[in-house]
Amino acid sequence: MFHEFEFNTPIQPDMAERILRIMRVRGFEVANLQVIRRSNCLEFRLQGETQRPITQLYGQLEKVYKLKLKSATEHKKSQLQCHS
Amino acid sequence: MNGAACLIEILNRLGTSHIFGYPGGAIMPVYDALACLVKDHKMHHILCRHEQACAFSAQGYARAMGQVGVCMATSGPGATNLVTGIADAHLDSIPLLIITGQIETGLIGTDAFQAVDMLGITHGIVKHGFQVTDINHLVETVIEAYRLCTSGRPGPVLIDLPKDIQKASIDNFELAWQACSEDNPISQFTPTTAQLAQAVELLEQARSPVLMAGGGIKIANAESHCVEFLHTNNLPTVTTLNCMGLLPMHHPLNLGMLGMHGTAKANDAVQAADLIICIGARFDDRATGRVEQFAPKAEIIHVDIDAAELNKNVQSTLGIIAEADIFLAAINQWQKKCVKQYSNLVKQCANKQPVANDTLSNPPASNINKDQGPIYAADFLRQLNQHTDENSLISVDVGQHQMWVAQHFDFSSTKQFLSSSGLGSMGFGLPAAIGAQFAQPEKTLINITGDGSFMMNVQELATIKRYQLPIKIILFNNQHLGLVRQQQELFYAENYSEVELFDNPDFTALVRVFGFQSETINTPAESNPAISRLFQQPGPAFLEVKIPALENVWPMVPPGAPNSTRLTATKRQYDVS
Repeated sequence: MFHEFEFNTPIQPDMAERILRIMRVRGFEVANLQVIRRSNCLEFRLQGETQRPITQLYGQLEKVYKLKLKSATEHKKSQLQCHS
Repeated sequence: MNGAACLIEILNRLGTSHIFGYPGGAIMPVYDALACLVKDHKMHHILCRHEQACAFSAQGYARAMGQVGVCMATSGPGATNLVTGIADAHLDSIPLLIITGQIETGLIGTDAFQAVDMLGITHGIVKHGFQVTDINHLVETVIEAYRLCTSGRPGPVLIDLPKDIQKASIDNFELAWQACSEDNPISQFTPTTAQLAQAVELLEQARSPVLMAGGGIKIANAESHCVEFLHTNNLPTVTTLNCMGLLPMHHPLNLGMLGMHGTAKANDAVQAADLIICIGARFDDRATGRVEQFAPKAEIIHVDIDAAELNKNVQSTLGIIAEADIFLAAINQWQKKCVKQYSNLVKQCANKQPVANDTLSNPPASNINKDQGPIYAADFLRQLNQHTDENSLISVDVGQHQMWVAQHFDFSSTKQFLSSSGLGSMGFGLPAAIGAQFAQPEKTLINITGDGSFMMNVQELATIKRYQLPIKIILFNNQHLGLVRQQQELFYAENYSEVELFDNPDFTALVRVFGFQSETINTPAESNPAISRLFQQPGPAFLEVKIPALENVWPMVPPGAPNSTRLTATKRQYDVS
C-alpha cells in the first residue's frame, strides 16, 4: 500500500532527517519526497510504501515537534499508479 | 549576562535544584556560571563518575520526585556516554532535560576535537532535540525544552549548546524571560462522554473483565482513582513492571505482574478474559508474549495519553486518548450511577494461592533459617520485606534479581520501585538510587543488584562516598549473567556462551576500599541478622548474598511464545545441586 502525507514543519535543518528516520524505523519505504521552503515553514509532500496500516506512521509523525499534518491518505498501489 | 549564566538562571527559576553532571571542555562556561549558585547553595551539582551515571541519577531523581531531572555533559564522549540513559528515559517516559556542550558553531562540520552530532545521534530517543545557534533564541528554547519534558507523555528533551553561544552576551534577559515564561496552558486529554458511555457498556457486558495497569497510572499519580475504579467494579487486576505496588501483594484483586516472568494467575486471567481495560500501558512484547495470541477472546479498551500507542501493537475495541488520572476520575464519576459486580473471576482467583506463592520460584519449598544449604533469592526477599516499609525505595538493575524483586517484594506503592523497564539497562540501579536519595533524603534507598549489573556502574560508589549517601546495596551474586544463562539453559541446549563470572572481584573488599561497611552471607540463617545489620548502619552499607549459580526465575514464558505457554521449575525437573 502507498500512503500520502502532506504536512508543514518549522524551518529547521534537521526536519527532513527526522521524518525519514521515523519512516524507516516504523517500516515505511520512501516512494517520493518533496520539500519546499516557504517563507515561514517547510512544506512536505511524502509518499511511503508499506504493508503496515497508515496509523503506524500517522501517529508518530503527529508527535514531531510543531509538525502540522494537513492530510494523510491511504492508497492501494494500483490506485496510485492510475493517478500518476 | 552570558548564555551560560542565562541557562543556569532559567533552570533555577524553573525550579531545578539538582543537576547531575560531569564537566569538560565544551561546557566550561556553564560550569563557570554554575559555581556561584552552588557556592550560594541555590543549586546542587552532583558530580558522578561517568556521564551514563549522570543520566541514570537524574532519572532516579525524576522518578522519585515526579519532576524534571537534569543532567549535563560536555561534547563528544561526554555526550555519547549519556545516550543509554536518554534512551532509557525515552522508553520509560521519564521527564529528563539533557544539556550537552557543543563545539563552537563555526567549527561544527569540521570534525573538530570532541565533536559529535548529538542532535542526530539522539533523534530516535528524545521527544525533541534543540541545538541553539543564536543567543537570542536561548531563553525561549530552555523554557520550551523544560516544558516539553513534562507535557503530554513525559520524556527526555535535549539542548545542545555550542560553546560560543554559552559565551555570547544576552542584553535583554529579563524581557525575554517575561515574554516566554508566561503561563502556557498545557492541553489536557480528556475522554468524551460517548467514550465513557461505551467503556461502561463494554464493562457491563463483560463476564470476565481484567484491568491491566501500566506505568501511565504512576506517572499521572492516578493510583487512588485506579484503586477506586477496580474496587467499584471488583476488577481482577494485572500490572506491568512499571506499575508494581498499585495493590498490596495479597489483595484479592491483585493477580500480580503479567508477561514473561509474570504470575500464572495474571497470565491465565488475561488469556481467559473477555474484556481487557488497559490503562497507561503500551502492550510491550514482554507483557503480551506473542502478540497475535494475546488475550484472544477479549475486547480491548485502551486508554493512553499518547495517540500513537493506540492500535500500535494490539487492536483495541475502544481507544481513548486521555491522561490516566482524568480518565479514571471521569469514569468513577460516571459509574457512580451504575454499578455491576464482576464476582465470578474474583471468586475463582480467591480460591487460588496468593500472588507471592503463585510464581513457583525455585525451589517451591522454603529454605529460610537453615544453617546449611543455599540462600534462595525469593526467601531472602521475603525476609527483606519484614525490614522495610513505605519509607523504603527500591532501585534495581536488570536481570534475574530484578524479576525476583518484582515477584516477591511487597511494595506499598507504585513510587517505591525504580526499575529500568523498557530499555532494560544493566547499570541503572546504583546511579538511580543516588538520584532518588537526593530527591527523597528522608527515605531509605535500597539498591538490589546482581554481580553483572553492579560492575557496569561500580565507579558510582565514589559518588556515594563523596556525598555520604546512606544507600544500602544488596548484591545477589550467582557468578553469572543469570538471565542470559537461564535462556541458554532453556533454549540453547545448555550451550553456555560468555555468561560465567567466576573471576568476579572480592566484592566486599572492593566496597570496603570506598569506606563502606560490607559483608557476605552464604547460608539462610545468616540472612535475617545481616539484613538487620545493614539497616543499622547509619551510612552506606553493602551486603553480598551468595546464591546458587543455577537458580532460575520461574515461571517463564519463552520469548516469542504466547502467555499461555509457561515453563515452571517442576516442569523442568530443575536440580540446584
